[in-house]
Amino acid sequence: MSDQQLLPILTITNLIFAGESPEIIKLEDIVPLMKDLKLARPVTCLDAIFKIVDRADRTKLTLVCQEYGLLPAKSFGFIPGGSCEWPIECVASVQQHARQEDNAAFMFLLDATSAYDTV
Amino acid sequence: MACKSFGVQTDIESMFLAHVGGHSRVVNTVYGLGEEDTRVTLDGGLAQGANSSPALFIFATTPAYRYADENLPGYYMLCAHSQPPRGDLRSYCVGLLNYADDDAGLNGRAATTQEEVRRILNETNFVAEALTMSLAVVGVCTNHAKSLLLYSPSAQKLILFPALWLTTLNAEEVLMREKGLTVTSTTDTSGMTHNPESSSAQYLGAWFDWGAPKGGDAWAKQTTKIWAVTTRYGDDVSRILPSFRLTCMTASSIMYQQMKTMFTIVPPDHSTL
Repeated sequence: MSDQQLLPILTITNLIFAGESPEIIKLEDIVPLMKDLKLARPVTCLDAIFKIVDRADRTKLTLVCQEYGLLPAKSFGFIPGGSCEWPIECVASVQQHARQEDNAAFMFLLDATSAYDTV
Repeated sequence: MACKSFGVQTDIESMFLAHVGGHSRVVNTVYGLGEEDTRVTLDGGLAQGANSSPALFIFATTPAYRYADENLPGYYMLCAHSQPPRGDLRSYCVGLLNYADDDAGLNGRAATTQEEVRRILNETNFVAEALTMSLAVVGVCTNHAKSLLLYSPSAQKLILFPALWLTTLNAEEVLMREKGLTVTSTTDTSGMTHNPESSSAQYLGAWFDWGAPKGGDAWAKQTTKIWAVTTRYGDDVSRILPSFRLTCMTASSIMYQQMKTMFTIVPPDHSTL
Protein backbone atom coordinates (compact mmCIF):
# COMPACT_ATOMS: atom_id res chain seq x y z
CA MET A 1 0.00 0.00 0.00
CA SER A 2 1.19 3.50 -0.72
CA ASP A 3 1.86 6.10 1.98
CA GLN A 4 -1.23 7.99 0.89
CA GLN A 5 -3.36 4.88 1.35
CA LEU A 6 -1.80 4.21 4.73
CA LEU A 7 -2.42 7.73 6.07
CA PRO A 8 -6.02 7.08 7.29
CA ILE A 9 -4.84 3.88 8.99
CA LEU A 10 -2.05 5.85 10.71
CA THR A 11 -4.64 8.31 12.04
CA ILE A 12 -6.77 5.46 13.46
CA THR A 13 -3.68 3.77 14.88
CA ASN A 14 -2.60 6.93 16.68
CA LEU A 15 -6.11 7.39 18.07
CA ILE A 16 -6.06 3.85 19.50
CA PHE A 17 -2.60 4.39 21.03
CA ALA A 18 -3.90 7.61 22.61
CA GLY A 19 -6.80 5.66 24.17
CA GLU A 20 -9.41 7.30 21.94
CA SER A 21 -10.50 4.40 19.74
CA PRO A 22 -13.33 5.20 17.33
CA GLU A 23 -16.55 3.39 18.30
CA ILE A 24 -16.67 1.37 15.09
CA ILE A 25 -13.24 -0.13 15.83
CA LYS A 26 -14.58 -1.60 19.06
CA LEU A 27 -17.47 -3.43 17.41
CA GLU A 28 -17.10 -7.17 17.96
CA ASP A 29 -18.75 -9.72 15.68
CA ILE A 30 -19.73 -12.95 17.38
CA VAL A 31 -19.91 -15.91 15.02
CA PRO A 32 -20.67 -19.53 15.89
CA LEU A 33 -17.94 -22.12 15.37
CA MET A 34 -19.54 -25.55 15.28
CA LYS A 35 -17.99 -28.06 17.68
CA ASP A 36 -20.23 -30.85 16.40
CA LEU A 37 -23.75 -31.12 14.98
CA LYS A 38 -25.37 -29.84 18.19
CA LEU A 39 -22.89 -27.58 20.00
CA ALA A 40 -21.37 -24.31 18.85
CA ARG A 41 -18.59 -22.21 20.37
CA PRO A 42 -19.03 -18.43 20.06
CA VAL A 43 -15.96 -16.84 18.50
CA THR A 44 -15.46 -13.07 18.67
CA CYS A 45 -13.96 -11.37 15.63
CA LEU A 46 -12.42 -7.95 16.19
CA ASP A 47 -11.38 -5.27 13.76
CA ALA A 48 -8.05 -6.07 12.09
CA ILE A 49 -6.48 -2.65 12.82
CA PHE A 50 -7.52 -2.85 16.48
CA LYS A 51 -5.98 -6.32 16.76
CA ILE A 52 -2.66 -5.21 15.26
CA VAL A 53 -2.39 -2.17 17.55
CA ASP A 54 -3.58 -4.23 20.50
CA ARG A 55 -0.83 -6.78 19.82
CA ALA A 56 1.80 -4.02 19.93
CA ASP A 57 0.26 -2.74 23.19
CA ARG A 58 0.34 -6.20 24.73
CA THR A 59 3.99 -6.78 23.79
CA LYS A 60 5.02 -3.46 25.37
CA LEU A 61 2.95 -4.05 28.51
CA THR A 62 4.22 -7.58 29.15
CA LEU A 63 7.85 -6.62 28.52
CA VAL A 64 7.63 -3.71 30.97
CA CYS A 65 5.81 -5.86 33.55
CA GLN A 66 8.39 -8.66 33.20
CA GLU A 67 11.34 -6.24 33.40
CA TYR A 68 10.09 -4.77 36.67
CA GLY A 69 8.88 -8.12 38.10
CA LEU A 70 5.21 -7.07 38.17
CA LEU A 71 3.87 -10.41 36.94
CA PRO A 72 3.69 -13.55 39.08
CA ALA A 73 6.83 -15.68 38.60
CA LYS A 74 4.81 -18.83 38.02
CA SER A 75 2.50 -17.38 35.39
CA PHE A 76 3.09 -19.16 32.09
CA GLY A 77 0.35 -18.02 29.73
CA PHE A 78 0.56 -15.27 27.10
CA ILE A 79 3.86 -13.82 28.29
CA PRO A 80 7.21 -13.78 26.46
CA GLY A 81 8.87 -17.18 26.95
CA GLY A 82 5.66 -18.70 28.37
CA SER A 83 4.39 -22.13 27.39
CA CYS A 84 1.78 -24.60 28.64
CA GLU A 85 4.41 -27.36 28.71
CA TRP A 86 6.18 -25.94 31.80
CA PRO A 87 3.18 -26.11 34.17
CA ILE A 88 2.27 -29.56 32.81
CA GLU A 89 5.79 -30.76 33.55
CA CYS A 90 5.71 -29.21 37.05
CA VAL A 91 2.44 -30.96 37.89
CA ALA A 92 3.64 -34.26 36.41
CA SER A 93 6.95 -34.05 38.35
CA VAL A 94 5.15 -33.45 41.66
CA GLN A 95 2.75 -36.32 40.98
CA GLN A 96 5.61 -38.67 40.11
CA HIS A 97 7.70 -37.56 43.13
CA ALA A 98 4.78 -37.97 45.57
CA ARG A 99 4.11 -41.43 44.12
CA GLN A 100 7.74 -42.53 44.41
CA GLU A 101 8.39 -41.08 47.87
CA ASP A 102 4.93 -41.99 49.20
CA ASN A 103 4.34 -38.37 50.22
CA ALA A 104 0.98 -36.87 51.03
CA ALA A 105 0.13 -34.19 48.52
CA PHE A 106 -2.92 -32.24 47.37
CA MET A 107 -3.60 -30.31 44.20
CA PHE A 108 -6.45 -27.92 43.47
CA LEU A 109 -7.53 -26.73 40.05
CA LEU A 110 -9.78 -23.68 39.79
CA ASP A 111 -12.15 -22.94 36.96
CA ALA A 112 -12.95 -19.27 36.36
CA THR A 113 -16.33 -18.48 34.79
CA SER A 114 -16.29 -16.04 31.84
CA ALA A 115 -13.00 -14.71 33.20
CA TYR A 116 -12.40 -11.93 30.67
CA ASP A 117 -15.97 -10.61 30.92
CA THR A 118 -15.80 -10.08 34.67
CA VAL A 119 -12.48 -8.30 35.29
CA MET B 1 -7.19 -2.06 41.54
CA ALA B 2 -4.08 -3.53 39.86
CA CYS B 3 -3.16 -0.08 38.49
CA LYS B 4 -3.40 1.42 41.98
CA SER B 5 -1.41 -1.39 43.64
CA PHE B 6 1.36 -1.05 41.04
CA GLY B 7 1.41 2.75 41.27
CA VAL B 8 0.29 3.36 37.69
CA GLN B 9 -0.26 7.07 37.05
CA THR B 10 -3.89 8.15 36.79
CA ASP B 11 -3.61 9.48 33.19
CA ILE B 12 -2.16 6.13 32.03
CA GLU B 13 -4.81 4.28 34.01
CA SER B 14 -7.59 6.24 32.30
CA MET B 15 -5.99 5.52 28.88
CA PHE B 16 -5.99 1.81 29.77
CA LEU B 17 -9.64 1.91 30.74
CA ALA B 18 -10.57 3.81 27.58
CA HIS B 19 -8.71 1.19 25.53
CA VAL B 20 -10.25 -1.88 27.17
CA GLY B 21 -13.73 -0.49 27.76
CA GLY B 22 -16.59 0.56 25.53
CA HIS B 23 -16.74 -2.55 23.37
CA SER B 24 -20.02 -3.57 21.79
CA ARG B 25 -21.06 -6.90 20.32
CA VAL B 26 -23.17 -7.98 17.38
CA VAL B 27 -24.23 -11.62 17.21
CA ASN B 28 -24.19 -13.28 13.80
CA THR B 29 -26.09 -16.53 13.45
CA VAL B 30 -26.58 -19.11 10.71
CA TYR B 31 -29.76 -17.23 9.78
CA GLY B 32 -27.99 -14.01 8.95
CA LEU B 33 -25.59 -11.27 9.94
CA GLY B 34 -26.45 -9.21 13.00
CA GLU B 35 -27.57 -5.62 12.45
CA GLU B 36 -25.53 -2.83 14.00
CA ASP B 37 -28.61 -1.38 15.71
CA THR B 38 -28.97 -4.68 17.64
CA ARG B 39 -25.52 -4.38 19.18
CA VAL B 40 -25.02 -4.61 22.91
CA THR B 41 -22.52 -2.33 24.65
CA LEU B 42 -20.57 -4.06 27.39
CA ASP B 43 -20.48 -2.49 30.83
CA GLY B 44 -17.14 -4.00 31.78
CA GLY B 45 -14.71 -6.78 31.10
CA LEU B 46 -12.03 -7.25 28.50
CA ALA B 47 -12.56 -7.67 24.79
CA GLN B 48 -13.00 -11.31 23.80
CA GLY B 49 -10.44 -12.29 21.18
CA ALA B 50 -8.18 -9.27 21.77
CA ASN B 51 -4.45 -9.93 22.02
CA SER B 52 -4.05 -7.90 25.17
CA SER B 53 -6.93 -9.46 27.13
CA PRO B 54 -4.97 -12.41 28.65
CA ALA B 55 -2.07 -10.09 29.59
CA LEU B 56 -4.43 -7.53 31.14
CA PHE B 57 -6.26 -10.30 32.98
CA ILE B 58 -2.96 -11.49 34.49
CA PHE B 59 -2.05 -7.88 35.33
CA ALA B 60 -5.41 -7.31 37.08
CA THR B 61 -5.24 -10.53 39.07
CA THR B 62 -1.53 -10.42 40.03
CA PRO B 63 -2.15 -9.05 43.60
CA ALA B 64 -4.50 -12.00 44.25
CA TYR B 65 -1.91 -14.55 43.02
CA ARG B 66 0.88 -12.95 45.00
CA TYR B 67 -1.14 -13.06 48.22
CA ALA B 68 -2.16 -16.70 47.70
CA ASP B 69 1.32 -17.85 46.60
CA GLU B 70 2.97 -16.33 49.68
CA ASN B 71 0.72 -18.43 51.91
CA LEU B 72 1.18 -21.75 50.09
CA PRO B 73 4.01 -23.91 51.50
CA GLY B 74 4.15 -25.84 48.22
CA TYR B 75 5.82 -29.11 47.33
CA TYR B 76 9.63 -29.32 47.59
CA MET B 77 11.70 -31.56 45.35
CA LEU B 78 15.41 -31.96 44.89
CA CYS B 79 16.57 -30.41 41.66
CA ALA B 80 17.95 -33.18 39.47
CA HIS B 81 18.70 -31.09 36.39
CA SER B 82 21.08 -28.46 37.76
CA GLN B 83 24.57 -29.00 39.09
CA PRO B 84 24.43 -28.65 42.87
CA PRO B 85 26.40 -25.61 44.05
CA ARG B 86 29.21 -26.41 46.54
CA GLY B 87 28.23 -30.07 46.66
CA ASP B 88 24.83 -29.61 48.34
CA LEU B 89 21.65 -30.59 46.58
CA ARG B 90 19.38 -27.70 45.61
CA SER B 91 15.66 -28.01 46.12
CA TYR B 92 12.90 -26.24 44.27
CA CYS B 93 9.34 -25.62 45.24
CA VAL B 94 6.22 -26.00 43.11
CA GLY B 95 3.32 -24.00 44.53
CA LEU B 96 0.81 -21.96 42.63
CA LEU B 97 0.83 -22.27 38.83
CA ASN B 98 -1.12 -20.04 36.49
CA TYR B 99 -1.89 -20.12 32.78
CA ALA B 100 -4.09 -17.10 31.94
CA ASP B 101 -7.42 -17.91 33.68
CA ASP B 102 -6.46 -21.45 34.76
CA ASP B 103 -4.91 -21.99 38.20
CA ALA B 104 -3.37 -24.99 39.89
CA GLY B 105 -1.96 -25.17 43.41
CA LEU B 106 0.25 -27.96 44.79
CA ASN B 107 1.09 -28.64 48.41
CA GLY B 108 2.52 -31.67 50.19
CA ARG B 109 5.33 -33.41 52.08
CA ALA B 110 6.06 -36.61 53.97
CA ALA B 111 3.24 -37.40 56.38
CA THR B 112 2.47 -40.55 58.31
CA THR B 113 -0.52 -39.66 60.47
CA GLN B 114 -4.03 -38.51 59.70
CA GLU B 115 -3.43 -35.24 61.59
CA GLU B 116 -0.41 -34.38 59.42
CA VAL B 117 -2.34 -35.09 56.21
CA ARG B 118 -5.29 -33.05 57.46
CA ARG B 119 -2.92 -30.15 58.21
CA ILE B 120 -1.65 -30.26 54.59
CA LEU B 121 -5.24 -30.34 53.37
CA ASN B 122 -6.16 -27.35 55.55
CA GLU B 123 -3.17 -25.35 54.24
CA THR B 124 -4.18 -26.20 50.66
CA ASN B 125 -7.82 -25.30 51.29
CA PHE B 126 -6.86 -22.01 52.98
CA VAL B 127 -4.80 -20.91 49.96
CA ALA B 128 -7.41 -22.04 47.41
CA GLU B 129 -10.05 -20.07 49.28
CA ALA B 130 -7.74 -17.08 49.71
CA LEU B 131 -7.21 -17.08 45.95
CA THR B 132 -10.89 -17.36 45.05
CA MET B 133 -11.82 -14.61 47.52
CA SER B 134 -9.04 -12.32 46.27
CA LEU B 135 -10.17 -12.98 42.69
CA ALA B 136 -13.74 -12.19 43.74
CA VAL B 137 -12.55 -8.74 44.82
CA VAL B 138 -11.59 -7.96 41.21
CA GLY B 139 -14.83 -9.56 39.95
CA VAL B 140 -13.70 -13.01 38.83
CA CYS B 141 -16.32 -15.73 39.36
CA THR B 142 -15.33 -19.36 40.01
CA ASN B 143 -17.31 -22.43 39.05
CA HIS B 144 -17.52 -24.64 42.18
CA ALA B 145 -18.61 -27.71 40.25
CA LYS B 146 -15.61 -27.54 37.93
CA SER B 147 -13.01 -26.69 40.59
CA LEU B 148 -11.20 -29.91 41.43
CA LEU B 149 -9.28 -31.34 44.39
CA LEU B 150 -6.87 -34.20 43.68
CA TYR B 151 -4.76 -36.07 46.20
CA SER B 152 -1.92 -38.54 46.19
CA PRO B 153 -2.38 -42.27 46.94
CA SER B 154 -0.50 -41.76 50.24
CA ALA B 155 -3.01 -39.09 51.35
CA GLN B 156 -5.85 -41.24 50.05
CA LYS B 157 -4.83 -43.99 52.49
CA LEU B 158 -5.22 -41.66 55.49
CA ILE B 159 -8.15 -39.44 54.51
CA LEU B 160 -11.02 -41.00 52.62
CA PHE B 161 -13.20 -38.06 51.63
CA PRO B 162 -11.31 -34.74 51.73
CA ALA B 163 -13.25 -31.67 50.65
CA LEU B 164 -12.25 -28.34 49.12
CA TRP B 165 -14.41 -25.50 50.45
CA LEU B 166 -14.39 -22.34 48.37
CA THR B 167 -15.88 -18.94 49.12
CA THR B 168 -16.28 -17.20 45.82
CA LEU B 169 -18.60 -15.44 43.41
CA ASN B 170 -20.72 -17.98 41.56
CA ALA B 171 -21.98 -17.58 37.98
CA GLU B 172 -24.80 -15.28 39.23
CA GLU B 173 -22.15 -13.11 40.96
CA VAL B 174 -23.39 -14.08 44.45
CA LEU B 175 -20.76 -14.72 47.12
CA MET B 176 -21.20 -18.38 48.14
CA ARG B 177 -19.26 -20.96 50.17
CA GLU B 178 -19.61 -24.35 48.54
CA LYS B 179 -17.67 -27.55 48.10
CA GLY B 180 -15.53 -28.13 45.04
CA LEU B 181 -15.36 -31.49 43.32
CA THR B 182 -13.05 -34.12 44.83
CA VAL B 183 -11.68 -36.59 42.32
CA THR B 184 -9.87 -39.80 43.21
CA SER B 185 -7.08 -41.64 41.47
CA THR B 186 -7.79 -44.96 39.82
CA THR B 187 -5.67 -46.78 42.42
CA ASP B 188 -7.84 -48.45 44.98
CA THR B 189 -5.55 -47.99 48.00
CA SER B 190 -8.25 -47.89 50.65
CA GLY B 191 -9.85 -51.19 49.78
CA MET B 192 -13.12 -49.49 48.88
CA THR B 193 -14.57 -49.95 45.43
CA HIS B 194 -13.29 -47.31 43.10
CA ASN B 195 -15.95 -45.14 41.50
CA PRO B 196 -15.00 -44.48 37.87
CA GLU B 197 -17.39 -41.49 37.72
CA SER B 198 -15.29 -39.52 40.24
CA SER B 199 -11.97 -40.62 38.75
CA SER B 200 -9.38 -37.99 37.93
CA ALA B 201 -8.80 -39.79 34.61
CA GLN B 202 -12.43 -38.99 33.76
CA TYR B 203 -11.86 -35.23 34.23
CA LEU B 204 -8.20 -34.64 33.41
CA GLY B 205 -7.22 -37.55 31.21
CA ALA B 206 -5.08 -40.56 32.02
CA TRP B 207 -1.75 -38.77 32.41
CA PHE B 208 -2.87 -36.77 35.45
CA ASP B 209 -4.19 -39.80 37.28
CA TRP B 210 -2.17 -39.71 40.51
CA GLY B 211 -2.38 -43.45 41.17
CA ALA B 212 -1.15 -44.64 37.79
CA PRO B 213 0.86 -46.43 36.56
CA LYS B 214 1.15 -48.62 39.70
CA GLY B 215 -2.43 -49.47 40.43
CA GLY B 216 -4.76 -48.05 37.86
CA ASP B 217 -5.26 -49.12 34.31
CA ALA B 218 -5.75 -45.57 32.96
CA TRP B 219 -2.16 -45.26 31.69
CA ALA B 220 -2.20 -48.75 30.19
CA LYS B 221 -5.41 -47.97 28.28
CA GLN B 222 -4.04 -44.64 27.05
CA THR B 223 -0.71 -46.17 26.01
CA THR B 224 -2.58 -48.82 24.01
CA LYS B 225 -4.52 -46.00 22.31
CA ILE B 226 -1.30 -44.14 21.47
CA TRP B 227 0.26 -47.32 20.08
CA ALA B 228 -2.84 -47.77 17.87
CA VAL B 229 -2.45 -44.19 16.58
CA THR B 230 1.24 -44.75 15.81
CA THR B 231 0.63 -48.09 14.11
CA ARG B 232 -2.18 -46.61 12.02
CA TYR B 233 0.06 -43.71 11.03
CA GLY B 234 2.82 -46.14 9.98
CA ASP B 235 0.35 -48.26 8.00
CA ASP B 236 -1.16 -45.21 6.25
CA VAL B 237 2.24 -43.78 5.32
CA SER B 238 3.50 -47.10 3.92
CA ARG B 239 0.23 -47.61 1.99
CA ILE B 240 -0.09 -44.11 0.51
CA LEU B 241 3.63 -43.30 0.27
CA PRO B 242 3.12 -39.51 0.30
CA SER B 243 5.77 -37.75 -1.72
CA PHE B 244 5.04 -34.23 -0.45
CA ARG B 245 7.20 -33.01 2.40
CA LEU B 246 4.36 -30.79 3.64
CA THR B 247 1.93 -33.73 3.82
CA CYS B 248 4.40 -35.79 5.82
CA MET B 249 5.16 -32.89 8.16
CA THR B 250 1.45 -32.20 8.75
CA ALA B 251 0.68 -35.86 9.44
CA SER B 252 3.64 -36.14 11.84
CA SER B 253 2.60 -32.93 13.63
CA ILE B 254 -0.94 -34.22 14.16
CA MET B 255 0.45 -37.46 15.55
CA TYR B 256 2.88 -35.56 17.81
CA GLN B 257 0.04 -33.39 19.18
CA GLN B 258 -1.74 -36.57 20.28
CA MET B 259 1.39 -37.91 22.01
CA LYS B 260 2.83 -34.65 23.39
CA THR B 261 1.33 -34.84 26.88
CA MET B 262 2.52 -38.43 27.25
CA PHE B 263 6.08 -37.42 26.31
CA THR B 264 5.95 -34.54 28.84
CA ILE B 265 4.90 -36.88 31.64
CA VAL B 266 6.63 -40.16 30.79
CA PRO B 267 9.93 -40.00 28.90
CA PRO B 268 9.59 -42.34 25.91
CA ASP B 269 11.49 -45.63 26.13
CA HIS B 270 13.55 -47.13 23.30
CA SER B 271 10.71 -49.14 21.75
CA THR B 272 8.38 -46.09 21.72
CA LEU B 273 11.03 -43.97 20.02
